[in-house]
Amino acid sequence: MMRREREVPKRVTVALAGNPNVGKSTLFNTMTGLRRHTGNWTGKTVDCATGRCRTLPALQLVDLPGMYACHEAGHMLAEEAEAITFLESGGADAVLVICDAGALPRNLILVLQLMQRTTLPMAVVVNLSKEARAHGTVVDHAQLAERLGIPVYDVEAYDKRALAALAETLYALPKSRQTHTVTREVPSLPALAEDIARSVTHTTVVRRDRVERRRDGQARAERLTSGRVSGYLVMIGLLALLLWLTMVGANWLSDALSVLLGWIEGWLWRLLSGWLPELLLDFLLNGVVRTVFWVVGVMLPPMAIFFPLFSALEDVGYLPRMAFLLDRPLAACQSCGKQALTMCMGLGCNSVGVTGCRIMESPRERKLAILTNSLIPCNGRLPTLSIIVALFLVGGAGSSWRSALWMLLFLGLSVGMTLLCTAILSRTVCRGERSTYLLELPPFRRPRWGQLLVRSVLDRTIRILGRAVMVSAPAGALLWVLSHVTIGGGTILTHMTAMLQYPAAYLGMDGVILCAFLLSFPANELLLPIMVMLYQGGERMVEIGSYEALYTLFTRAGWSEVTALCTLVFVLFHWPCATTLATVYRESRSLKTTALSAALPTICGCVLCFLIYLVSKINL
Amino acid sequence: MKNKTLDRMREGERGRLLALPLEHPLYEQLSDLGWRAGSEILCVRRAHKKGPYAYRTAGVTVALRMGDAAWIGVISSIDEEDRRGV
Repeated sequence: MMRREREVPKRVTVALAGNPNVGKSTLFNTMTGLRRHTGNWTGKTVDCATGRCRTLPALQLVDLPGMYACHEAGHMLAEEAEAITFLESGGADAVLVICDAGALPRNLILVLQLMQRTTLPMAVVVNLSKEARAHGTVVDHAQLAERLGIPVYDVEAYDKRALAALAETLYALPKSRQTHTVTREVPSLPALAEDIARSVTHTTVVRRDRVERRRDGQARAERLTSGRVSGYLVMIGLLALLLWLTMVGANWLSDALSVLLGWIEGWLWRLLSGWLPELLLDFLLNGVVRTVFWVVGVMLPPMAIFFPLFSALEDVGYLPRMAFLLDRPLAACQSCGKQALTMCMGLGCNSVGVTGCRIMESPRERKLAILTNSLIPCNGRLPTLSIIVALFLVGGAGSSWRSALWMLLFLGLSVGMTLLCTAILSRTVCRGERSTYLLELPPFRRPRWGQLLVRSVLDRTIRILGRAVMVSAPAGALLWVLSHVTIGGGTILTHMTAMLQYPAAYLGMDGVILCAFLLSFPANELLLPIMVMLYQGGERMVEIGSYEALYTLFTRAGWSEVTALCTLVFVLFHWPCATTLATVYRESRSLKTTALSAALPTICGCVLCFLIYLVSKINL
Repeated sequence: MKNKTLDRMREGERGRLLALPLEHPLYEQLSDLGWRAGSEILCVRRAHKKGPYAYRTAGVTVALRMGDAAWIGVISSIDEEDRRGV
């Protein structure tokens, strides 16, 4: 028997630990009001986050990455090591272990290991009890508390009221006296965990037909989404549907936003006209405000539709099935299916995708995933792709299904290029043995739409848009200056575009497009607004979000279908943005890897664009 | 009773994991997920004959590919046990 006694500090820090995908981040978000990424798949949380409890500010919570077990150093994943290091560094006053009521035996292994490994006071929250009950399993919490010798709470991770009550209990946890029977002499923790789980779980009386219907539904969904043929058909179908809905919704939203932002801009002109000198007014409204509005007008519509739909796929539990399907082609390229998860994260933001590569056990495969992540178009590039596709490849914003098919084709090209580059790298700079692959396939769950909308709109869309606006405001100001300061009879921008004209011609583009790619290095979202500004020679930008005005502007500048195609390919494959490069360096601690991660997509883009240019010349 | 390796299981076949070499790269991870000698497993899906495969055990479904490791565990087929009345 062990006794623990600690003094209660004024501020109490409680670490949230547990197996992956048991609801740690959901509980953390509910208690702190913060918005950590949540979803129904393992490996979302790869770093620690700290937040104060909303109802009890003296209680500080730390959301740790998920871990299956406490292994010895050298046998842990990067995120597991981060969690253990935090617990052993004395950063926490107590530990709250979150368990899944439906998979108690394996969850208890970690609880018992933590009891052995740390001297911190502990408590357990049994989450997902309702789901377990629906499958006929009930956990006796009092008996579990008695067997473990620590407090056990039955709380759903999204239940605000119950968690407010739990906060008070957690605050008092460090001063609680705990007794438990787990010592280092226990011969087999898994056996003990199984024994405890067996003694505290009971089968509830639920209608057999209802349980069987649920099981059958899960099995049917599993068959459909992971079948050799049906799996790929479902994957392509779902992505096509998602892109079609994004295109339809974005067109509608874009029109509405165009009117709103145009009205605000007109109002700002009227308001400031009498107050500010003409030059300053031009700088502020045509330089800063127009660029910011353009970024909002271009980015918001596709993001506001795409993210909630993609989050729904995450919540349902589809992403691990996608990783299961893509493991075979990735294994043929000497990598593993987990890379597919990092690619999905990259679809949101490449920087997040690069950080997400921590879920990969093998350092070689992690490096492969980091190097190739930028080949997947992020949210900053998707709107540009969709607009150029709509303008030049389908002839207007109305043909949504054709736009969706083109987008699907470009997404397929990205995945294909990722596989090709992975195969080449694994046979050259990242040689080594292919590792084993193990990934938990979570049960399919119904998404909670309310929380999903809040999370995807507030967390992803607004956060990313905010970042883009923060970058676009100074970028707009800089562009205005570059387009107004003249040297030797031309503006700085004119000289830059003239210099780039020659190399750009061999890539099927022009100097302005290449200059826009260079200037949008801080954030990919800036590409289209910069391009528009450059074509207008620093004049007032065209109407925000107007497809017709854009088409006229580009065709007048000499754009053809070949120019559009080359630009689209270069949007897919060019150097990553500054944030992603900084993340690659942070994760790899290697300038060589960082340089390679920038060179790889750029080389792919240049080669493909040159080939398109050559083919177009032969045809002509 | 006929024993076979894990990757030889057919879709829908139930088995019992009898042995798993300690030095196998997946040993620790599988143990963490609740796999033990004698655990019952169900082969849910086979994406390809070389893997990955999806198995269900201890209430958890996992996708597995054994990589370049020679073999993974020996299982006895419960379906066969049933047929023989074991």
